[in-house]
Amino acid sequence: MSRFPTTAPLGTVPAPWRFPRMASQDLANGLRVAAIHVPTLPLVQARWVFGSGRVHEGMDKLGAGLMLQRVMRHGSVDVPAAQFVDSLDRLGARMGGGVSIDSSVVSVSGLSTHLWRFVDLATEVALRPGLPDIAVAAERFKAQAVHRHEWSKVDTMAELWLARALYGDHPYGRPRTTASGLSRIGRDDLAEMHASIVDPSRGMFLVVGKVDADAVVQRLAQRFDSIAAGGRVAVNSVSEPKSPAHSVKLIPEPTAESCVIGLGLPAVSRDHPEHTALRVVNQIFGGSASSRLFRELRDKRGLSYGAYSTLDCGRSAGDITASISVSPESAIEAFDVLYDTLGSLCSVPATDDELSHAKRFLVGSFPQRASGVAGLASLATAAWLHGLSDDVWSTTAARIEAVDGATVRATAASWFKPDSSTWVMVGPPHTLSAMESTLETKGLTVSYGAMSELEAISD
Amino acid sequence: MVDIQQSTLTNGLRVAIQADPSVPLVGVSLTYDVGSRVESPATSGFAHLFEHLMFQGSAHVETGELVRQIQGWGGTVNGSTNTERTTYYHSLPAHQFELGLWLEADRMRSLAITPATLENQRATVLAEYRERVEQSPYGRAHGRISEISYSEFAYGHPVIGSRETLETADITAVERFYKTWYRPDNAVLSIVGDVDPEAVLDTVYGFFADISRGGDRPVLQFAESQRMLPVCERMSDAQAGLPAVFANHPSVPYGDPDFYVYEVLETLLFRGASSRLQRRLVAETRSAISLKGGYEAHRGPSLFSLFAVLPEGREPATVVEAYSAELERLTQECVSSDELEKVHNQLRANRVFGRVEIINRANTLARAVMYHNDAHFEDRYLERVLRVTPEDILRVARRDFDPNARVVLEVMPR
Repeated sequence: MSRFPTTAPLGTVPAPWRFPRMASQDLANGLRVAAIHVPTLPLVQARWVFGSGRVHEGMDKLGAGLMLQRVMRHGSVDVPAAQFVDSLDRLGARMGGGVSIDSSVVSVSGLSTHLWRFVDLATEVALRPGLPDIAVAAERFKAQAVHRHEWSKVDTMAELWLARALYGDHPYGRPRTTASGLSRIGRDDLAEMHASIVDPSRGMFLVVGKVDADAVVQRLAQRFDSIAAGGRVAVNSVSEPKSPAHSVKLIPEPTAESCVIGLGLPAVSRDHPEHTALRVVNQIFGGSASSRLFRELRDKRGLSYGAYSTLDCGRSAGDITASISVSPESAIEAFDVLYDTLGSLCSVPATDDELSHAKRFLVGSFPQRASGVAGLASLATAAWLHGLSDDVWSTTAARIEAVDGATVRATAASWFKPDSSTWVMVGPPHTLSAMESTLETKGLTVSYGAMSELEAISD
Repeated sequence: MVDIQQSTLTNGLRVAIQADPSVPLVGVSLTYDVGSRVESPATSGFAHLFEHLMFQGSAHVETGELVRQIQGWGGTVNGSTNTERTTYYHSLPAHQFELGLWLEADRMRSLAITPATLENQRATVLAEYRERVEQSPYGRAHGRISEISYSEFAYGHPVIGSRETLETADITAVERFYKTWYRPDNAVLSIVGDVDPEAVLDTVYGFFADISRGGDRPVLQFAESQRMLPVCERMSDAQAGLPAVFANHPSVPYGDPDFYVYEVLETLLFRGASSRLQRRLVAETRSAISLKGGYEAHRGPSLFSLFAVLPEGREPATVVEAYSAELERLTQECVSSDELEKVHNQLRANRVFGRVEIINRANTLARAVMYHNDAHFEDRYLERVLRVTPEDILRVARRDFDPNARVVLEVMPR
């Protein structure tokens, strides 16, 4: 006789889970040193974090942040490039991080037995990068080629134009590179960019891994106590962006074999009180393969391969975006479904089942996000960068659980409004022109653009 | 040695369970021994199409409900198909391990294949085909290099198949595919995480043991009558902004004693900024913008591959020349013990990095059983890699890196 049950098993009681304790110390020079003990694997990550990034790039030098990130991998004042990469590989280590819009990270990960070598290597390139001319030339050459490659892709075109539509001239709306920007960047620009970002007095040094956290903090304090503040760092003081227009930008691309449709909505900065409720509503909208977007676009109609939305919250603003790639002949239908699914968040309130599912997803997935040294390090540094409370990750589950139906309805009504949405479509010219009348019926202001316009913002 | 509980059910399902209480999660991999290599020109792309159909409901699980049930507990779930196998994997909080196993058992015993689900997933896979092949830079080239690297169809076609066969796949052929390959004696189930192995095994018996084994499976033959016909082809790609080049040499399959030599060769040449090819092609000569490649091991004919994206205006032949020179060097001089020690350190660290994700661990365990018939393959891997000598590398390079037995595909932006 079969023992196979005809209904899904209910499961048992979940094991208690807590975000691990972080040992930390704020040094007299302003640097925070911290460590988290993770006993699971013999791995460790050492990372420098600075609360400044590409927001301070000059419009005529777009790409300086990216270039700095790459050239920092070419060693330090005292350690030449070949020796630096050889040291990393010899230790089986991985270097990570980068210069993002709001922050900059340099990390080195590997076997925990090499922790203090990783601290040395990360510190060398973070605080005293060599920036040799030959590396600047090599990385500029590579960045220009990658720029050309990326800008020829329809999904990149949609992503760049969507940022522009959402943020306009605000730094969050700028492309990461422009061809003319890259061509102007020299060693002095990178040195200046580095000085404007890297200031130990406004930084954090974090170690996560199989280490004695308290002992590591003590040793880091001794090691970095005498480091002087940089003093030239530019503190992020960017104003909030203007609200985007209810419009659609059409980007004709004659070589396109598909049509990419991008949706953008303004959201909030990471420290905003509505952030948790927005995560829950975004989860209901398009956060996973169980969400409304995926069910409508892929499960029911097979219109697109992926159909997700993302909530991305920076230090001065945030956004909700969704992007789908569809066949040119189904572009109108796909746009209608995407637009109507957005509208449904207000017209068809989330059911108890949807709300419960979204909350269980967000709570249940958290231990997974925090299960490795890199995941834990990202969460710990995000809390510090956004000025969140020290217990933010320990209380995440409780805050998600507290979001109720009324809050979801209010949040959806405030932030998921079709008439606040902005759109971008990239595809074959005849497909886009055929869509104009459909788009106008939604009250969208239709205009055309070209990648050359984005390129021109560096001129 | 890590404690792994292994069993084979009476219906042939192989089970491997590894308890690890360090994270409150469970990772499960159900890997079927069916990949694109079993396809014929008439069924090209079926293995991958089937991966999609497996999410479309079964006797007790409605369409889309499998993903919803797993994600409802914060789990992750997906599938992947390659030439060798199709894997369904998920992670869940450990207290929900029964749910994941129940969902897997239900679709192994009673997948619901209907004209409606076939049509829906045909459309989805065609959307994926458009995104990954037709609209993606070098998407078509990745298919073409498979075609010209093998003399037989089995490995010589892309996993995603062709638009034509996907558009015409009929439900009878799809059902036949399911009955032939989706059965317990053609699968490995691995479970890793914070679980009691005895309790898990009892659940596995309860959910899977009465699924019928089915009839005889086709016997697959993968020997190629003529291996790697040397060719140099050029194609244009409207989606590509930059030129690129592929270069493939024949290599050895899983189970070959030189498998571990190729693992070392891959790291020596490709992994890390100080590796030979990254240094020469990317850092020093700027012949390439980016470089991928290494050992593509199969149970049948296998490859050692290079894929390089070049700066604008650069001729692919110059990169192939530089690549050849590095391979030639391997046939002329022994790798120093110092360089070999660096490679060993990289491989040692990589194995630990590979254990971070619980799903990776479950998938690795399932593959170890399927490809190597050895649940402890991971434990032995490092020991065997560390035994590779400079002389082994010299011998294999001299035997396999023949510049006259190489397939090259140059891709030019249109």
